[in-house]
Amino acid sequence: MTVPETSTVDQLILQHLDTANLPESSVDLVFAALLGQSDLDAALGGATTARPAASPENVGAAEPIGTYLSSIEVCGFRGIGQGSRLDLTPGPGLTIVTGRNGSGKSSFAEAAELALTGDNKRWAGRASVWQDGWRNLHASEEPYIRVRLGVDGHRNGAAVECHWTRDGGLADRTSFLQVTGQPRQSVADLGWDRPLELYRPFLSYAELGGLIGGRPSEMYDSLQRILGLGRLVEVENMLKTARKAMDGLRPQATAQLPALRSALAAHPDPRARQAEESLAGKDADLDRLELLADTDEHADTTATAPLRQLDVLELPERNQAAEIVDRLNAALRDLAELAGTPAEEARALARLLGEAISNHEAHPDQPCPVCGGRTLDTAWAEQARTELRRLTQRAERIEGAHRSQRESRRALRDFLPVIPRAIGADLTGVGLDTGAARAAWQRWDELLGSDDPRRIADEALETFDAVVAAVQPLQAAARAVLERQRQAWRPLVDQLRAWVATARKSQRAAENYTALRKAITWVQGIGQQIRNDKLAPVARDATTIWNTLRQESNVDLGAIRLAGTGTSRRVDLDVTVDGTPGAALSVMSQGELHSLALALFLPRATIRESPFRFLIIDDPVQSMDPVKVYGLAKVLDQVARDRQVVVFTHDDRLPAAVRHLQLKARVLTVSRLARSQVTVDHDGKGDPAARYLDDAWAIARDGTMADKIRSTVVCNLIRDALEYTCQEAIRRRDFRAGRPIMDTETAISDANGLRPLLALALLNDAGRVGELPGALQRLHSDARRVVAAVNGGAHGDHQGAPLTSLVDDARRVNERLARS
Amino acid sequence: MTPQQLLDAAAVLLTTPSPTMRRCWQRACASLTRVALEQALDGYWKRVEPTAARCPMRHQLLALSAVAGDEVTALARSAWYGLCRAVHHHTYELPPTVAELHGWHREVTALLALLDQPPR
Repeated sequence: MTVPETSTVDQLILQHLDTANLPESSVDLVFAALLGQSDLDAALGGATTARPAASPENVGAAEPIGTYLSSIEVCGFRGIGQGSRLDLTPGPGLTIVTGRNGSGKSSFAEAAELALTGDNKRWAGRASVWQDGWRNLHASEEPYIRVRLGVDGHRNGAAVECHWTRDGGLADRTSFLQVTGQPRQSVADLGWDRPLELYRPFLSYAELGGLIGGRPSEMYDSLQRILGLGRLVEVENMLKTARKAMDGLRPQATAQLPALRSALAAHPDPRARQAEESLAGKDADLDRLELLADTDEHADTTATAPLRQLDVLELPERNQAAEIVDRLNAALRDLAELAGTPAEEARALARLLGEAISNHEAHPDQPCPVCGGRTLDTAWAEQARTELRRLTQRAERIEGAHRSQRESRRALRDFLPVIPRAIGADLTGVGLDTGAARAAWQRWDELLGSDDPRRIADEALETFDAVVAAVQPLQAAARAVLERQRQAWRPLVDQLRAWVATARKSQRAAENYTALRKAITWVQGIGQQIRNDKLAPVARDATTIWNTLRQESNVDLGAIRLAGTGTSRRVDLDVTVDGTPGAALSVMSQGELHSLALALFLPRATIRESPFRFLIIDDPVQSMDPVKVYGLAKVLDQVARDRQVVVFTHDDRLPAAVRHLQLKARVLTVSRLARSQVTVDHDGKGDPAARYLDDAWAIARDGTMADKIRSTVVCNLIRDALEYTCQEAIRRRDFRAGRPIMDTETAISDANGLRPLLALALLNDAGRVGELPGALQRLHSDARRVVAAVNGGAHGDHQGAPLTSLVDDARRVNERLARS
Repeated sequence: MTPQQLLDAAAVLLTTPSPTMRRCWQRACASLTRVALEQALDGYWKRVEPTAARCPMRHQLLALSAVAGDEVTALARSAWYGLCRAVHHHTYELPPTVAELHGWHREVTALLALLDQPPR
């Protein structure tokens, strides 16, 4: 059997992706899809996908732990009354269980299937009358099924058991798994659910018909599952779903555009004009639109700037003005009081008096130098000093009043500066009349510009009040206008923002859509390739099996292909009848269809990934021509090289073919006595070693044949018998010792020749041939002699005892060896 | 007749069965093929081990694997037991099909070629 490619679909896709002629965006999406739905969503959203490496060391997954059947024990189930056990050798090899119809052999097969799978294909879906008759009434115990398993690497393996209470239905059973030396577990712990679905190792005659007779899509699905190709469909569907979603998103921006356009057109805001401009081109300028949506400022400065200025304009407090006016009034009052004495005159007089006083101090009691009259004596000096102080103070007061008046006027100017541009501007465009405010303010300006401080002091407050009275409503109106503008624009901003988001999404969707379309086309193409690559080995096996099986049927099986998609998926069998491409299945007979089903089934059950190293086939020969049975025997022998094949059959054709073709198959006979007492017969012609020895006996007694060739043939046959028995003994012993079955098989095939095999069987080491004589002596007193004779005689130089007694001795040695 | 002549006669029956033979030409064909096999083995034993030629066919086939190897024996066994079944009357079985007869014919032809080679 060819072992199919074990690399997973993912790895194959990754390998193909390396050399794919695809745009980067599509490659990213395929990667993301392989990683899973969330990664795909992220990638569609624009995230970068971490690319898994197509690591070659991952290729070739580990083989699952192989499981073989060790025995099937049944009590009170279907045809079997009292407990009866079918013993099998856990390991590769062909076992044929024969028995007449109703002997209970199928009961073993069904029991094993029910225990391990919880179901039975033959009875599944049948009317309840079929299901209800499961219980055998001849059992004195409560019914049970016990299937012992040889699990690779597990000492003594495990057992799966089903128990029923005295009057429970078929479904009322308790099932459990018992690994030797461990507590009971659920059967589900075997983890066989999926493998059972994929590689179901049970096949009954009824099922063989259904395998091909079903709908074409079912056959496609089952083949696809076997090959682990479901993943392809999964990835493809994921991408397709994404494509559909993208396809829905793609036109959304365009669909919403007319609504936006009309909203913009109807809007007076100049930003709407700019937005319209941005939308005018073939591709909308999304960045600019976004910017527009984000600017809170009214873009038109001629109208808005004055409004904003009005909005922020702060009118000073009135009491501040009142204070200044008070100061001004005070200054004016001072000036009025001192009227008539101008400051300069007072100062000049003061200076003159000062000089006179200085002169008097230098030259006391002299007459006045200016008028030459009165003598300037001390009394005068005293009088003059007082006058000087008075004059100086007066001058200072006048100067102070003047300064205060000037400062007050400046303060008033600072208090309310010249008319702001906003009030000077023409705002009739936005429905504001600045006239009153302007007039009031101009009056203020004009007032402050006047030369008459008295008027300023008198009218300042009044004028200021007028300004406030005119400006405050204007300000309120300006604020209202601004607010109106903002209110009118905001919904449009929202709409614009939403549309830009949609547009970006649509843009991305359009890009994604293109990338996805390419990715899907690519995945489909690669999928087809992977499908057929994966199918090829199975198809090759099936074709080989068919060619062996058909035994010159005029139907040729060529390529097998998985074709079509969706509901039209089917398996194309390239069948030619007498060299003419035929209408395929319709021209084939029932027997041929069964053979074809078998040809397709056997590769499924022998696939490397399957944990089932056994396969149970119930009555495959029923509708086969006698000659096809020979082909079947050869095929089963081939499969049994690395699988444990258990075949149940109701007549002697298969065992006969096995005997005629000298195949190493164990044949067990199931017979049913009264009261459903089923016995399994292990001896007689069932054992290949016994068959070899029978043949050897026949030749040994044939006096016609020359001694030389006779002894060669006899010795060859005895050697075959002993080798077979050695192999079986090794298998049983190693299994009990918990040795991995693959190791055992390797050791057996490595032990080349009778002596190494005997050493392996008796001394557990094929290399210890030197110690073999002692071991043989311990086995049986004749053993050494028989082995020596057989080894010599098989090479044409047997001498000594008559051949018949050699065969007799060999029988005894073989029996002892079988029990060792 | 030599084994080859017998095979040729069988081949004629296979392609153009005589109308007078009605339904028995299949068995006749099988018989001819079987005789060809027997004679071929007979000739082989006469050259290699004359005593074996007189033995029953079961013994001859057992001896064959010791002398001529597994490939030859497998061919001979497959053809012999198939032909035996076809030649002998079995109450519930129909005569062999043309395809089956072709198959055995081919096997015996191949066997003849192998037996003609010098023994190992």
